[in-house]
Amino acid sequence: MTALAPAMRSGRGAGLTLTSRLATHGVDVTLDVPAGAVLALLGPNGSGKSTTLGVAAGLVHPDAGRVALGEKVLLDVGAGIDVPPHRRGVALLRQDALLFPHLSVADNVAFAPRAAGASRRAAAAAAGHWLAQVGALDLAARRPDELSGGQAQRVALARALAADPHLLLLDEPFAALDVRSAPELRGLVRRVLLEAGRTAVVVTHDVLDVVALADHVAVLEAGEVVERGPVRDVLAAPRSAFAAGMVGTNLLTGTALGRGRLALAGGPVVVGVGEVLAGPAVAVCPPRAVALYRPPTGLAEPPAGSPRNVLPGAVLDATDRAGVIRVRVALDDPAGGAPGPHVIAADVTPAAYADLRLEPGARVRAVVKAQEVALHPGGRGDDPAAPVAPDALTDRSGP
Amino acid sequence: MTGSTAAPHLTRRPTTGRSRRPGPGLPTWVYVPAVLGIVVVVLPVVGMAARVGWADLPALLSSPAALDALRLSLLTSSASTLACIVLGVPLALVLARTRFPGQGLLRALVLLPLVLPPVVGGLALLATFGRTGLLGAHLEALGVRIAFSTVAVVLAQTFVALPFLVVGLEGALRTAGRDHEAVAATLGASPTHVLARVTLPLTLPGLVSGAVLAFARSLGEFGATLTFAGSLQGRTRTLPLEIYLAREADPDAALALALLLVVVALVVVGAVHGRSRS
Amino acid sequence: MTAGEAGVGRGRPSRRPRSWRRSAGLAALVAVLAGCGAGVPSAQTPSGSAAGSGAGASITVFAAASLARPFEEIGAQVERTHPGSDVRFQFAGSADLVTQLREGAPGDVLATADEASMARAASAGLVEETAPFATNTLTIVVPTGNPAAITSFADLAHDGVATVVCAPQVPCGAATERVEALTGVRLSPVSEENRVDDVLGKITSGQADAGVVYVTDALRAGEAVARVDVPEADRAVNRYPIGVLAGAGGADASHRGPNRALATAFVDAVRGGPGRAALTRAGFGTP
Repeated sequence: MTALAPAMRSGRGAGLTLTSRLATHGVDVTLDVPAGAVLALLGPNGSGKSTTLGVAAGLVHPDAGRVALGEKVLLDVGAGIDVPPHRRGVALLRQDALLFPHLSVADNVAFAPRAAGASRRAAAAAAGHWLAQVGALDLAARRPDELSGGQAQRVALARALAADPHLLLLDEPFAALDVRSAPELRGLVRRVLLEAGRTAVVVTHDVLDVVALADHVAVLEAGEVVERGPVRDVLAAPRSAFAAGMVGTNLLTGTALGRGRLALAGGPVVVGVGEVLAGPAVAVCPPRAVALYRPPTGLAEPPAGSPRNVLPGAVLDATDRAGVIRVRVALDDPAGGAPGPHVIAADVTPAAYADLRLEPGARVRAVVKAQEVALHPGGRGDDPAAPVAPDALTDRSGP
Repeated sequence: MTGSTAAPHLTRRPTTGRSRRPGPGLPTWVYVPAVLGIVVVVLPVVGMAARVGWADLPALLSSPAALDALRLSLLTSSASTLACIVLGVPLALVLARTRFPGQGLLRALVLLPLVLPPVVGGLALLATFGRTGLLGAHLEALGVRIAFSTVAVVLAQTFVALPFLVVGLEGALRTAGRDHEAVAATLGASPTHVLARVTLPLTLPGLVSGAVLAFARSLGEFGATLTFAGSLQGRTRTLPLEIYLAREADPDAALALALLLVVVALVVVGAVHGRSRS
Repeated sequence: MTAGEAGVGRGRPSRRPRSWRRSAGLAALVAVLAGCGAGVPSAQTPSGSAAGSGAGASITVFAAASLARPFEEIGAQVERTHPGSDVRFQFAGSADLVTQLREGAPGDVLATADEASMARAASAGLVEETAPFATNTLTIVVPTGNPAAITSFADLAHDGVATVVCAPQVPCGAATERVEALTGVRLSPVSEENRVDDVLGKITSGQADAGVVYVTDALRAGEAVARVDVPEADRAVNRYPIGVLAGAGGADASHRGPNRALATAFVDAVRGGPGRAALTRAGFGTP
């Protein structure tokens, strides 16, 4: 697996290499995460994702395998090396926060420094620092049972970070949160991972997590890695059934302009809903929300009214997907007029497909209501132009 | 984004007092056998209290024999509870947190004193620690004699009380699960640190209730003590043995002492349980 | 061995009375109370239980545990001379017997191992006329081989000799105290037991070096112990009284006459020739 050039990354993270075979779980996995990179581990339930994290953390003991973090070998079954979990420097954040119920929030976060031998005072200072980092300093005196799910997970993140881990494992960290808390926490984790250049593995079912947090993707099915690669490659052209199913939506990456606007690099400005003030961001909309029209002389005119995006481009291709035709459109680069790197997919009925004569190369306007476009922080800052769209041709995916 | 913005999601649980349990009520008929159960337990105690000669109570309870028995009972029960904690906590940990061949058999053996009549326990202890016993013969050669000593009382009480602590704590350990321990380990805590700062605090209610049960069982221990330790005022004659002896000559004193035992048991169990709930 | 019923109904299991049980509660609070020990005899009414006609009289004899063997013999004799009759026994410590009777246990005859217990029964109105029928004297028992080389009562007071005696509250313990007074030897026992059988048990198991029990108990223990006789004990004999209980015959008027007659016949048999022989064989003396 080739790493993204981690030019902006420098931190204490060390690269992870992991091979593990567990006969009882039917798992045979090899992973490789460069120092400072974030790997998204995808796959259906029972495919071995959590087990693999357990192997990395030292909580699951494989029949055969090797785990190394940088130069340090954590596990080598053949050589009889098995560093216990507490000496691995691998922190785990799970779906449920698992805060220690008998300790205050501050003492929870101070747990790792105390375990490492820090004085009470130094540990309390560290706890204060990390609570501030996750914006939870005001919760310091509370008991865990006085926290909401989002608050608890925020504290759990601070607790994991306070251990100063070489590797951070995130096991569906937002899955148990409500729709409001999840984006908040996702943004927080994203900031934490980017700022410190931490090596991390995140297990998720949510494509937004992949886009927001990860550089690389590995897809597990039935205990084996069936697909791997940089995020943009996998999302642009998923080869595994799981990734394809997950990427059933348009993802347009660019830079947030504030007030619900997103500038696609080498593409138009998109309007949507979601508060992203600045920085890399991604616009998400389902193909069925995208309508296609021929240029003004065509049969149909885009209706006026509510705020919408009108994105000119040219049809790339079309595929029949069980009764609907998925048409992919390469959006024009407003600067050059020629097709840019961004591709958007639209689902149209066979009748409309015929009426509009949407053969490849046809000029169209893709229209999608701002209401249907969700803006999220996401996309790695070092790769602003990565086009991500369903079934995009790989030869159009980069300059 | 601060915690306060998430305040609308906050579901703060009451920290003091217990609110009414939600959910459907019990069928009414359940209360009939429940009340009968209370009657079965409480009525004999009431009957005993009704028989006690209250006027003579102070004199009966302040006799040297009674005071010696009370002192000895509290001392030995405390010692055996301590022994149960020292031995039972590691035992419960091994049973709940490890897996090895023969574990089921070991668990059954640990529970054995629960199902043995105490007098059988006394005979077993005698055959082991008695002067001619398996270990006792060697101890005797070293000049250590356990039979007829206060140590024998503590040994007998520990024997019968240990399962209460082990069962209580093992259940608490299984209920608590291993997730918090796993998290603590990944945060860099050594196994000993995890045990002291996570496992034991999380299972403290189970440990406390197990210890209370062990103390109560020790306080009431009779059969094994009588068989194994004998009966001598101030050394081996605990409150139950004193009651048993008092019946021979002075049934009124026996009743008064029995009442004392009930009160002591209630005070200990009530105080510790009450505190652990708050 | 704690409940003192050892030897009950020996050789005649079909006649064995309901032995009593000491339940050991497992639930903690029950366990606390379990220390209170002994239970109560069955509530069944033996004296009224003879089936059908007045031909079958039936009595229950409350007797000290040490009397078990000779009384079983005497009971069999009485049943032979009174065809169709039924003599049952309740053997226990003397104090326990009195307590049980005071609490309403149905009985027809009471025989205790000491006069103090019988006096308590009399003062409670349980018995009317009583008479001594046997004596018992104390002896020293030692484990086979006599490891502590005990030869006299005074040896029991030596340092390092583990002596077990009966508690002063029970008849054999009271008798032991009298022997101590007569000999001027002050014992420091390692244990004071409620029951002679508990003393014997600690000797047979080798836990103690010596015990002080009745001659009859030493005989009963047979080969398991050796005896060291105490000459002074002859001056501290225990007298066993017997009497028909005031409530003898039971509540059922149709059976009261025959049952009372059978109770009287039993007492006569104990005090007469055949009873005398059985008691002597068991080691009892004549008052």
